[in-house]
Amino acid sequence: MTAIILLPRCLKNMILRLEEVTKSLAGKIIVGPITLDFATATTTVLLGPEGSGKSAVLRLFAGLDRADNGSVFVDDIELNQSSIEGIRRKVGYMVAGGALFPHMSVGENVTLRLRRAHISQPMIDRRLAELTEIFRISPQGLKYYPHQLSPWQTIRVAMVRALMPDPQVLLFDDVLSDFDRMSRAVALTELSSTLRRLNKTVVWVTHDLDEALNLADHAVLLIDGQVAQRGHLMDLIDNPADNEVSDFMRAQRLWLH
Amino acid sequence: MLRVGADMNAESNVLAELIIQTAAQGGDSKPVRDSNTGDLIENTVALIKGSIDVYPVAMDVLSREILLITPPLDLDRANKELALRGLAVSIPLGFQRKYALAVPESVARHSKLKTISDLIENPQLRYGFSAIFMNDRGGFTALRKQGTFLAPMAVKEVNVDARDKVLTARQFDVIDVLQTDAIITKQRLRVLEDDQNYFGGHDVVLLHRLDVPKRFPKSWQRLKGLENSITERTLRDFNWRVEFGAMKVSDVITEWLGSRRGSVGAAPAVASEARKSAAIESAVQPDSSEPIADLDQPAWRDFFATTMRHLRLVFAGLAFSVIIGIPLGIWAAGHAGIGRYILGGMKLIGLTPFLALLVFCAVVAQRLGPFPAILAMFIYGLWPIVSHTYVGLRTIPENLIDAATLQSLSGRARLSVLDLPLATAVIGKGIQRCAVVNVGTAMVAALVGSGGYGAPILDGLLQQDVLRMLSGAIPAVLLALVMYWLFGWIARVITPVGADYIDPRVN
Repeated sequence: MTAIILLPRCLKNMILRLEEVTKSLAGKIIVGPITLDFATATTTVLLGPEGSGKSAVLRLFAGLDRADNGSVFVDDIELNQSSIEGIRRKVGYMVAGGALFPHMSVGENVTLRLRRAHISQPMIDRRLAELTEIFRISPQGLKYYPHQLSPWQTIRVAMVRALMPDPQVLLFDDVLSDFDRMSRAVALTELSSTLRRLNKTVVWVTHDLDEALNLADHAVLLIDGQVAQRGHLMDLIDNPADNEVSDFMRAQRLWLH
Repeated sequence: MLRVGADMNAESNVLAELIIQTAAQGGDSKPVRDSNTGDLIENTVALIKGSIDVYPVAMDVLSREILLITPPLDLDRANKELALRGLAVSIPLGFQRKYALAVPESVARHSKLKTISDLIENPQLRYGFSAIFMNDRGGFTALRKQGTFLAPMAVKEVNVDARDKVLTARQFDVIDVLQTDAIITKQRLRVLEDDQNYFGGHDVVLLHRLDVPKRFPKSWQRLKGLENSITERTLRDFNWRVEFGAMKVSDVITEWLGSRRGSVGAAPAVASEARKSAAIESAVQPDSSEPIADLDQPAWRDFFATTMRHLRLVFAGLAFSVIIGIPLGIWAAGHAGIGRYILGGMKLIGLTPFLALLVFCAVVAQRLGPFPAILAMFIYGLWPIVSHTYVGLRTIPENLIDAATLQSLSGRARLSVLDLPLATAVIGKGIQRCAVVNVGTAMVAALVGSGGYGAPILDGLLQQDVLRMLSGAIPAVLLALVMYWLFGWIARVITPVGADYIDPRVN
């Protein structure tokens, strides 16, 4: 037990890694050069003000965008044209609003990928049963269409869809941004216990410190596409590395109370 | 086969039908109407080339226009000239092509008009003469040349097709007619006696190829039976029943031939007798109630045919636009670079005035009728279809495209699973717009002879007949509404449930 804790960080299994990555959009660098990793089966909050490159980092891991320079590793495999399909199965990615297909029922939405991969129906049914039980979706609920769902139901369905192929990593890109305070509190309570039960590697992007405190101990703070500070959340609050970190934290705390 | 030519007017049509039905009784000729010819020159050329065999013609027209001899011309002289070209004239039908002046019965009675000379004492009369009469040396010029008819006249030109209208409106008192004109009966006109012999009369005969009597001896024998059998009055009655009584030409002729069968021998004598008295005859409308009772049915059938022609244009244009336009739109949406140029090209078509496009199509196709109309409508309809397809596919929300990418959906798979279902509502709007626009463009297409609701409007404009114009305009408005509703409904039905719960993007 002690031995594991004393091991240097680089020897722990880092399932997500960016090495000297830069990413620019319309000629403007939005991320990097950055080197960043996330350990297996941990939940980390990726914090930062608007435009700090949090979402861009997630999109790189999800394989939605390609890095301009440097390498992206998922489970020690470098992400490139030939490996991308294999990596997509290991990564689940969720955005605000869920991005469910509006013309398909909940059931069709969540099983689309496995059906298209010609997984047998009993296997799909078994997986679906597991996940609908975890996320409290009734058989009746599978017949609903996305426009009939509340925001929280939508996120739960989106999580079922993302979890159907049993990925090792879950990426959340500010999924609660369009929730009101009340439903956000409900969602956070439920999410933190569910995520603990699932035991996946979770990267949770938010600009809301309150949300972050509810979900994880560890955090990475991005400012202007660079890692400003990483470590325990309370450390970020109590011992900010520089003025920018303390400014961000102070602004968040003003909003909190 | 005995092919019969005719001019493009009602009377020539009646005569052609008469020749066909009579020759058919001979049993050896299988007579048919040739539909490719429409005027004197065309028919004469067709006769010489042998693509038609028989054609009814008036002697004065034949001599002046074809033989270039100043009329009058007798049959022997004409046959001598025609033999060189392998043609002949025979069988004078009995009536003559002869101009006359006619006045409404009420005016005639009021001003005591009986002869053309009586007009001289009535300078208040208003004259409406047709262009043909004014330009014909045997017409207006002949009236003036005699030297006796020099009274001041208020003459205006009247379109032949508008005569019925202007007489009803009492815009003119005296018009020129041919003795056989249906208008005489329709408007109860008194034909003034040609007391000074202003207008010469000319026999109407059959112009035919020399070999016809030998090729169809039995039919020819029957046709010979028509000699001197038709009076001006008889033909005028035929014309009236066809033009204003809405009877079919074939029915009129069949009926007459049937009634005549009993008294073949007596007919020629009666005809020549009748011709002598034709000049002083004042027409009394034969019992008008009977043919008018038949009006409803053919008029309704006519309207139905017009509607079907219009629908055919609308749907044919639409079908081609959809079949070509949707794949083109899909392709353009998938190839952003070239796609913009395709869209620009389509927009150029959309901005072209339809009438201009129609003219281009008619010129390129080198023909009139439904073909250039459908071609123009197809091209014109591409813009709404292609642009809606393009916009529908290019405005799929970014986050849904990401979600598809994450589920390994790309290319064709994404098109069928995500893009097309979500674009259906927008594409449906494009089809709806195309269908509604086609109702209007199909009306313009009547200008190149495609038929449909535009045709009665054009007719009505020529004849100054408001009701006829409305009979095309009102159903067109209703049809546009029906199209709007129908295709709106179809679009709603084929749009997958929930697909319209993304932001409305095109209205």
